[in-house]
Amino acid sequence: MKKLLEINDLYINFKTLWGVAKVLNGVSFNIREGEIFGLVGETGCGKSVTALSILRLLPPNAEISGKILFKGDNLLEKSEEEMRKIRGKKISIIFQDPMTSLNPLFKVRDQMLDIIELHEGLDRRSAEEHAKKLLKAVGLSDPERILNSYPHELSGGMRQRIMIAMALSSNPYLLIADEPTTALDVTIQKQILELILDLRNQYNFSVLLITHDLGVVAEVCDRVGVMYAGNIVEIAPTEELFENPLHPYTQGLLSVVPDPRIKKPLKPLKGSVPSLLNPPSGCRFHPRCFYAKGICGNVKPELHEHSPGHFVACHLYGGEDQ
Amino acid sequence: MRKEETIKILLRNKLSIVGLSIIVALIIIAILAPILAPYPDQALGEPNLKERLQPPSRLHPFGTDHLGRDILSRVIYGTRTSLIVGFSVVFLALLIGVPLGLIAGYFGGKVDLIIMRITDIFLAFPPLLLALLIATTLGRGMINAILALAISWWPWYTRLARGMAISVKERPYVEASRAMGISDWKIMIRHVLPNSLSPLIVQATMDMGSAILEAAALSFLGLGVQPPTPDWGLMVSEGKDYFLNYWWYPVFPGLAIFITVMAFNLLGDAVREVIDPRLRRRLL
Repeated sequence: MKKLLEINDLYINFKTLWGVAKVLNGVSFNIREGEIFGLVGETGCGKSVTALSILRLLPPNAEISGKILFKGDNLLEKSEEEMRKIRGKKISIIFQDPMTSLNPLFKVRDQMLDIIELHEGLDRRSAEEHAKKLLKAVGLSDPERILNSYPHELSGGMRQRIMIAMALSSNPYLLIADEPTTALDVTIQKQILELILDLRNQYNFSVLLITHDLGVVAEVCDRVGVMYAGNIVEIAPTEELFENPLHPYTQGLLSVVPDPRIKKPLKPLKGSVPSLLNPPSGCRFHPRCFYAKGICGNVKPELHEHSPGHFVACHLYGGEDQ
Repeated sequence: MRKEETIKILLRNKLSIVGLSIIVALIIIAILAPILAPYPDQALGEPNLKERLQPPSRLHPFGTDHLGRDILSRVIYGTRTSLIVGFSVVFLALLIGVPLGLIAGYFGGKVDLIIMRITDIFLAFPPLLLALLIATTLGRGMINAILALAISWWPWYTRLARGMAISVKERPYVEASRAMGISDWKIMIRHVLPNSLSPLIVQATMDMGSAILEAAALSFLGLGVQPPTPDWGLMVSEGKDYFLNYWWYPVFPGLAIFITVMAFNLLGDAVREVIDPRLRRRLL
């Protein structure tokens, strides 16, 4: 499959009052056409920053270096004007909290039609037809009523469906879903994930699914990247990752997923996520790693292909230390 | 916000009904002034020297002034001047202040710095003093008084609008709109402005009273509305010399100012209660 998005060696620093936060530390991964790529990691590991950097929506105090190639073009070199034509049209994003992602003062109709008119250049009536079609496609059976509703009259699941419909209104190549189900309850979560999967199968766009929930990953992702403190530590096809996790952090993550059938104590990782203002040298995970050795504190391990399609960034699996 | 709920709250609060009724009455009086005023000609300035400084009577319920004109008629016509001045000042000040505030708050950075330092310069003057200064420079007259007051007034709305814009621009729907490729200007008009309006409406309602009061002050000082135009501030000013012997001359126009300003303040409180959801719940 062809690569749709390639992120190469992305570094992002934020200048803050307390110093420079080194939020992304050389992130590289790619997303293929029609693929659902999951990005998992704890809160604050840089998942959302990665997502926002693709759309160039980071606040002005962010310093970015590296490359973000979308269909071969480096998005970091685009003007703001060019980016506006990409946002929502070629790359769309949906956010975590559907309850606040719609303006409370306007009906859904106004908000949907705004987007459709902007990107598709349709007149009001055709835009409305298009909106209704989209709402049906995301499983909302009474589009007329939805269009006439204010956001507060709809449930969280319905609102997230509307956000998805809006995101897909211009047939984007890439849908970025930033924790799309975190704010929803479990049954609705499953419905929304299935909806994303269905729509992907139907329209064949790619998805960058950002989540901290391994259950979500297992459910829908084709491939997964695991992030820790601004680095991607492991990339593998989903099944491979769950069956054969290589990086100690990935192993740690998987060991704290409770299995209701087996009652055994969970084995949490020791320590906590490091401060990005002053991250550990070498491998950022080494202070918490069971297997850490001398080199880990000095040399940053690079991602390399351990077995076909399975990449890992860890000194345990070859590289410079052997 | 549901309409029935809004009406319910407005009616629940007795004082707000008082304020609202007075303002509605004032508007009707202003519109129907030629019909309501017993002596429309005198209201507009025609002297009637035979009946100078008559005390209140059946013919002249508020008495007459030093040129024999019926004070009731002039107070009725004065409603027009006051309401026009009040609305114009607040409207102009909003027109200048709100866009500047939204731009400062939404874009931040240098734009914000420049706009806010300019407002600081304006706010450094005592408000009436600045208005006096501008009115003196522009010359006397109602339009100039309106301009003078609006120019000294807009920075307050700029501050308020900026604060609102800063808080609204961080809301997820603004970020979502940016992520969908909507331009900054459109986001400002479509999302930031409407969601910033509530406190501005409250402030503007309350300011209507203050604007009328300050316009009256300018007239009183001779810089606002010029005779023979019927104006409450001007009437108080002219009447002050006769106060000891002919109390009705300054008192009735003064009362009119007092009642109008109070009505706008009462309405402002009520509007705030309607708009603020926390106060709403308590009232329902």
